[in-house]
Amino acid sequence: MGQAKKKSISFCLILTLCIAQLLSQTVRIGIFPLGNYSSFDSNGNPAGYAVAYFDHINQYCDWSIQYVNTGTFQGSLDALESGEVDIICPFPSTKDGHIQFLYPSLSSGTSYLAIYTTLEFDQILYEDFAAISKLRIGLVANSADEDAYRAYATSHNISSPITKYSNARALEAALKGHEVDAIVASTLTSGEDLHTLGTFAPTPLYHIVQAGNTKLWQELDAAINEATMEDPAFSAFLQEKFFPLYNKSQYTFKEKQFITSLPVLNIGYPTNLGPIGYSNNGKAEGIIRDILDRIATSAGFRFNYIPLPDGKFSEEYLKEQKIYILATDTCLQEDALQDGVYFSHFFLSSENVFIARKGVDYHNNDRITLAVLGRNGLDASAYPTFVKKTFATVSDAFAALESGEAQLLLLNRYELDLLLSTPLGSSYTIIPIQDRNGGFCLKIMDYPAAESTIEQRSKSKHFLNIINKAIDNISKTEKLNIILAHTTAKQDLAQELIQKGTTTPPLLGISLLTSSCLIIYAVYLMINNKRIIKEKDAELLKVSNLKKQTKESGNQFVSNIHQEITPPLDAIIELTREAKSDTVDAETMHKLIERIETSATDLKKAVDDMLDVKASHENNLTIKHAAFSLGTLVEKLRDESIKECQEKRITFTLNKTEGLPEALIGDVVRTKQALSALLSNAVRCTPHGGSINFTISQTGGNKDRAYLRFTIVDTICGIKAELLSKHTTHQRIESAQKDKDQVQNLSIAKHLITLMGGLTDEYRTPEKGTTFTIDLPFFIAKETKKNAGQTDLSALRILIVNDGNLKDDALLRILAPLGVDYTTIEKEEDALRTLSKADCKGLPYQVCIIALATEEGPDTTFIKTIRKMFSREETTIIALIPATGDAKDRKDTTVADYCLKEPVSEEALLQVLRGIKDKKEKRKDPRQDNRCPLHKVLLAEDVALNREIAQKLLSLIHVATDTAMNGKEALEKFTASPPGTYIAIFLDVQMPIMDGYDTARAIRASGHPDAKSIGIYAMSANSSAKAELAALNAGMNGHIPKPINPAILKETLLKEEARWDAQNKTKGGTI
Amino acid sequence: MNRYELVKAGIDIGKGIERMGGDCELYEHFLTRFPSDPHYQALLDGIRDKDYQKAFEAAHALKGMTGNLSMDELAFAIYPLVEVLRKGNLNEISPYIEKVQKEYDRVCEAIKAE
Repeated sequence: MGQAKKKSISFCLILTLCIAQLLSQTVRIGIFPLGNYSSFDSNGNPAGYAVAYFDHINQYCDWSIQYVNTGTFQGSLDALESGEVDIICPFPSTKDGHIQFLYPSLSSGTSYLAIYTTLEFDQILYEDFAAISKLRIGLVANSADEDAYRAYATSHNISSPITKYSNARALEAALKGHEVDAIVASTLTSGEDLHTLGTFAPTPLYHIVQAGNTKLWQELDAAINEATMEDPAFSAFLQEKFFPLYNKSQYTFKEKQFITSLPVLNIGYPTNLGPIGYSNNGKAEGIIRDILDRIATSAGFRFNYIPLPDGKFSEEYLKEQKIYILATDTCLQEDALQDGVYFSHFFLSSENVFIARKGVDYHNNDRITLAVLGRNGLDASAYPTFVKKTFATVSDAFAALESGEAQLLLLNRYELDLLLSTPLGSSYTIIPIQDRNGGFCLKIMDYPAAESTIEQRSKSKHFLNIINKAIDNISKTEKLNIILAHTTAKQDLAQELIQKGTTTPPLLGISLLTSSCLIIYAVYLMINNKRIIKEKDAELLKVSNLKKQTKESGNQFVSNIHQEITPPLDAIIELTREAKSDTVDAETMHKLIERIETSATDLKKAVDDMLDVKASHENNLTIKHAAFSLGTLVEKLRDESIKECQEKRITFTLNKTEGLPEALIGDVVRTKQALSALLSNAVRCTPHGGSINFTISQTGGNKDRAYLRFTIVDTICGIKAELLSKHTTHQRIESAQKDKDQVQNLSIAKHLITLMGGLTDEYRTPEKGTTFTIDLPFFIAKETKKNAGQTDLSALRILIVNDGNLKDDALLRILAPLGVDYTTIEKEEDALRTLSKADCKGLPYQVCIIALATEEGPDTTFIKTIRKMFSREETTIIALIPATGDAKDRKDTTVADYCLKEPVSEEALLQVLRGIKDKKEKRKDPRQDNRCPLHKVLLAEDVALNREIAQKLLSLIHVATDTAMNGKEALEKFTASPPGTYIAIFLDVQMPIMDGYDTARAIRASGHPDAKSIGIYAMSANSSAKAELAALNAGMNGHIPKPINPAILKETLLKEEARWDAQNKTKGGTI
Repeated sequence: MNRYELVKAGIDIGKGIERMGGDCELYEHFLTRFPSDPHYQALLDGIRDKDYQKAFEAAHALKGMTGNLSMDELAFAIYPLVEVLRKGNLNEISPYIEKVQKEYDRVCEAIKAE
């Protein structure tokens, strides 16, 4: 009974997860340094498996997490008992533990004991017990480990001599010092440079909560359950990432022998699956091919791929071709029951989706036609209510969707990704199918099945086991990279799709322009598409969000490249227009064409630049463009270098030529990283008493751009030029670790510079030393320093929260002369009351500066409370942090609007305050914007308050509303309205008398001229994927989740507006 | 409105205002009207009279309202109640309704606070 209750509570909690996101509570997790499981860097920042695991879990509970270093396992226990922390990990499942603590139902990982050797023994195969017996084995004299090992040794007849050591460090030293050949150690703490010979004694590890803290325990349990339900493999994936030796299926001695004895295996390869599998001049290519290649390499198989002609999958054909293994996504039940046929694990999930055209009418479930592709694979039999129509190619199927011949298309999403990012894609909706059973696997067949001998069968089964192991060994990341390489990196494919979807303007003169645009667009799509795929992996179900985000990312990207592309594009358009005019003579025409060519070259350069951006995305290095001060950057570099130089008594000189622009736009972090690396290298390579000269000059530019040159000259030696090239790198790495770091840093620096569109050059003379030249392009920040008088800050009201530990003199000295109205308060609680009171009096504070001198910086809970009290537009929160911290990695930066380092620089503070002031002035009161409503919608919602809120939100975007209290009233209002009255109808799903779905069906069937075409949207607080499908089934166009997000509402209406305009245009008249 | 009290009662005003397009007066207007909305009484009546359809509909309406107004903690209490009512799992309803009552009272008190 108690159990049942717990279950029902945790089930409800799972359901409440979306609400849980609205709340945020601070949860302290106690961890202690334990190899890759958990560690703290020199700044006290936590890292490791425990952190990554909890970051994942926290997507489902949205706690604000603090990691507490408890020092040791015992320290963790003490801290949990005293209430200093709420959760501790890792903790094994013990009898006493279950009495004292609360355990989640699922473990958060498993640790094993393992026998490790150094890599010099890597010729010994996993579980080659005879070989292990010949090794000298060391272990820590700890009864649990020892007992477990002895049991393992006994059961496998291992008779190695054992040496015991007092602790893990001594054991490690013994292995390194060749006192023993192998050690028994936990997988949690073992490093990478080891070879595993066997694992045993699995111990599930848990996150535990103090008994009595039931609420937290339930939340934790629900979150772990939910995370595991969503992605059962996530913890295995993390284990693989953090513990490279951990849990990986290894091939046993016998298995290795078996693999080596196998001949080259013929694999039937499908060629009609688009990017998944196709034939290129008789060669098998595609995602499947690459994944199978990885499987073969990892296990030692030899595969020979035989491309199968379209549809030739028959047993006879395969037999004739001597194909006994088939790569396929058809795993039919009857096949599986057949003797002598085996299916491997899936190596690629099929991820089928439905695609529907937006704005199509659905009147009746029975009449929905589902387009399926005629080839093998997609199992449409699972959808018995639909009428099925088979098409030969993807484009035929899409044509059917366009013509209305079919309403839904069943397709594999890998084929879809590319298409959805094209202009065509925007007119489709994806509906994910929760079909987790499908996937690509290997079908292994013993021919002739009836006569297959017992030996043959057991051999096949053995083979199946090994191939499954090999499939499981391929990581998600590897697969994802392969998928990306076949979908996003296919520029030509994307271009082809765009060309199909775009009509070329008739003018020949513009063809150059068009093709340039297409290239730009293709690049844009590639980057955009990569994002889509990444996100979809995580969020396939959140369709509506996905659509929105994709759009946003596009907008952001467009605005970033705007500056680069628009000028040459404008020039081309303008020049072409001139060239077309009748009065142009031959000479002018020639000049014009020359200028068009120049602009086109510029455009090409811009596009090339963007390809670099794309490359940086692939390497997970993002180059951000933001304004920064050149002076500050140079100062930082100088300070760092001088410090380094002092140790070696190197003279460091900095030369900055006059007239350099001060405010630049570029990636200051990456620039600094690259220059620091090069400067450090110079210091390292310069002998005692030498000198380093660092010069900054400008090599070119205009009012928008500045090309800066950084020159580093060191006196003697310097890193050899060859070190930067790969070939000699390898030899160097072998020779010295120091060189390795050096080369790595330098190649990263060089890579970064290339990513930022810069160049490096190096000139070395044996006598004089090395000269490194770095050329980097920057934009010049438009708004250079404003005079203090330009923005009047006197009307700003500022609350300063300072507990007295920090010297706020500096702050006040800056604020006082400005005539700013400021108040200083010491206690957090008082501050909150003051903020509230001031607001009641109608004199709210617009800025809150928080200077609390705790080690961790300002308290995030405190800042979050302020954020809950006032929206970002009302009150700006500035957090002051100690200069020692790194502002970028801090958690509070995400909570506060701005983070400034102590002591506050006048420039930085003024910049922030002016920004706030300017923004406030620019922002209009939303209610004073009295533009006439452009359109009208019909809104049916029974709850008065919700109705008014929706109405208000619509009025903010200039849409008038007719309201109805229930579905019946909405239907009556609609049927009585003249055609074209409403641009959309919003229906609450749950209403008395007639609910939203019935209303939608009735509207569609009403015979009103707009009945079929008007956009109808459901509104409900239900989860969006299901609700979207339910809405579609009722003939609606989509679903808007409640509480209503104004952005989604706006997007929906813009879409409807476009449709409305188009429709009225074609009708040749307006209403 | 005493915003500090409101936040302590589990209302995320900042988010609520942002949802209203930054219009804080509008948000406060809706907040003030919340205590007089009839759905809460309907929920209690429905449960008292064992009219669970009525209770479910009222709870569902409250769920939407509290979401709209960013009354996080009240919403968090109502959500499981809606699910229990939806499933008709009525034997275990009292802890849920008690939690809702507690949060509702906190919210209304905070709205009326000076």
